[in-house]
Amino acid sequence: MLTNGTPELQIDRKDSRLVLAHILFAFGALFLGGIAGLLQGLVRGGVVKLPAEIGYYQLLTAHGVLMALIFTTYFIIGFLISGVSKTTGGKLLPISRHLGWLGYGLMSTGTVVGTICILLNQATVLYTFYAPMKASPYFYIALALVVVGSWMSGFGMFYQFGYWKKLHKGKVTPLFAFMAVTTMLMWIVATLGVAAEVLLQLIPWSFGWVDTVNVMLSRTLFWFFGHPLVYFWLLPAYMCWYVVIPKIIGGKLFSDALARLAFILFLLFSIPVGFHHQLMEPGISPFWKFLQVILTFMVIVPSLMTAFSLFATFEQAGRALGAKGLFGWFRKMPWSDVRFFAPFAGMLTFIPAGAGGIINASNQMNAVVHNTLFITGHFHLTVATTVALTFFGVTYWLIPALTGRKLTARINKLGMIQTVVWLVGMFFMSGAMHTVGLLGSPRRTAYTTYENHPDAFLWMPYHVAMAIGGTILFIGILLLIVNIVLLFRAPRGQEEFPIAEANASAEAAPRLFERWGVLISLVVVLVLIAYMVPVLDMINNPVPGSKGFVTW
Amino acid sequence: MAKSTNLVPHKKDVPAKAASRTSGETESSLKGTFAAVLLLGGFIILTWAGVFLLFLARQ
Ligand code: HEM
Ligand SMILES: [Cu+2]
Repeated sequence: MLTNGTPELQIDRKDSRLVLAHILFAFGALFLGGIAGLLQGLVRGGVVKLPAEIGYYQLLTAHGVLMALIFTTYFIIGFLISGVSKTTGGKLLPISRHLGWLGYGLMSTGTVVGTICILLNQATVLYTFYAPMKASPYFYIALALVVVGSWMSGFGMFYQFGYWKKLHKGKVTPLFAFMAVTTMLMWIVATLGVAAEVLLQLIPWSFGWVDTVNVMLSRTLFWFFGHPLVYFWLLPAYMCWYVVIPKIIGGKLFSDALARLAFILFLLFSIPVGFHHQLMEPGISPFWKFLQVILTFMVIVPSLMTAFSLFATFEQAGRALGAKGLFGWFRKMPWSDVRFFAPFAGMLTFIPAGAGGIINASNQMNAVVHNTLFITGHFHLTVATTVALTFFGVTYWLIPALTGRKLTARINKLGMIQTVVWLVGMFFMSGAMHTVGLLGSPRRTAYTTYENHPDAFLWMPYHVAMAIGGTILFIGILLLIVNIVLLFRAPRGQEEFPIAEANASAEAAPRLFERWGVLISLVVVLVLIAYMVPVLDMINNPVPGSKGFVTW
Repeated sequence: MAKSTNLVPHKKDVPAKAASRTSGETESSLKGTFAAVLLLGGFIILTWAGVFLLFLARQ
């Protein structure tokens, strides 16, 4: 469009820099975490043996932390900042941008310190850092810095959003910004739990200021955070599906109000449900587990609303292009556009992933799959495929949009290939994990033949399939890195930042959806109902405190 | 420059009837969506029942 050599960026140049810093850090973590993942797969498959200086569980800690905590959080914050900037005027207020950089600095300090602790073998406690395994205090401090840093970026987004609202009194807020604020709000409430665990329990205990730790309470505080964590990964992917994808397929958002309602339901129901990760724990009475499982199943409602809304978006767009028949619209989708194909592959993967989640959360079936590789297979579908492929799909347009370059046909093609490689690798790795998990093979376990037990012998072929799938996935990561380098060398031009408009005939969102005080109060009420009695019980009638253990 | 492109036009900023663009039957038919969500629901129930049967078999 512009030919004077300085193509227009999609958002302010300073904001672009902040976003790119986040995105590149995220992919650095993905690469390092991918090396660990590859080695894990090869070790479990009996293909390689680690040198004595590297422990399997040390690798597994690095993998979990770098993938599940660092890759995700950096990408999410970068993506949300970019969209908030884009939809609230194309430029962040200086305060918001400074908060973003402050957050980046804190998170990066935390990541570097935490990674050093893991590499020094001072923190081989896995990414869930369950007590009474005891890491170096600096590992916990590092995690706290990551969390506090993410809050700073969240506050920056809140400030920007509030400012937009002040300038546009009475107007409905931009959907992307609304979703970003809802996501960060949920994140801040959720991280209060893990912040309490780390600051009040683990750090004093790890420094030796107190001798023992209440393990039951620490696990409960962890999972108060741990379940909403998975929605913190998922909601930004939904934002791409709701707001970005309709534009890419040449359609409209099915319903702005429905999308907002779904996000509000996620805000309400993704927090008071952590006990579904503790169904097999003896210290919580069945009544409270039951209540939280019911609340967990409430999350199915907005999930299915999302599925409906996406199908409807596709069908309407396809029919507008002349599609006929029951499923003719399906063929009208832009299958060879990686900006669509990668997130779509993610959506499709979410069907078995979501079905698996309902199985995990069902008390009896949890007994079948708990702590088996089924769980690992499950979240490699949710976060490592659904979320990861959606983020990859976003990257293919976001980097050029931020650097004033074009996603070329060649990079698009390479992106398609990378997506297919990921799908194939995950089919083998996650498929094998699911199956062998149902046969009973435990997760978080280095290579072992269980003294040649016949059951464990049957698992071996699946562990080999995991190693093969993991190797293919690692090739997928390498291809992604190559593609990112190519994106930075792509010809200058203007790449769209796709933001869909709402369907004009749809209902407007009710005012209640923007009454943050009401929404936060509802969150607090639900949390109190689900957690107050059992947590007070854990504090007033504590299990015997445990000293720390270094198991590695 | 080009400020306006950065401001996403929001549907609610426009009077509803002026913005109305839904033209005919076909464009708003959601038959396929209905069928798709039923298939999705069926898949969830089947997988759930499968693992539940496994649970019962191992009781
Ligand atoms: C090259 C790609 C990947 C490979 C080969 C891989 C491989 C593995 C393997 C084999 C395990 C299980 C080890 C065990 O339980 O003993 C594992 C665990 C895990 N993976 Fe991955 N993975 C990959 C990508 C990802 C991604 C992209 C994410 C998240 C964004 C992720 C998140 C996790 C988490 C959270 C665990 C659990 C760690 C724990 O149990 O403490 N992985 N991975
Ligand atoms: Cu959960």
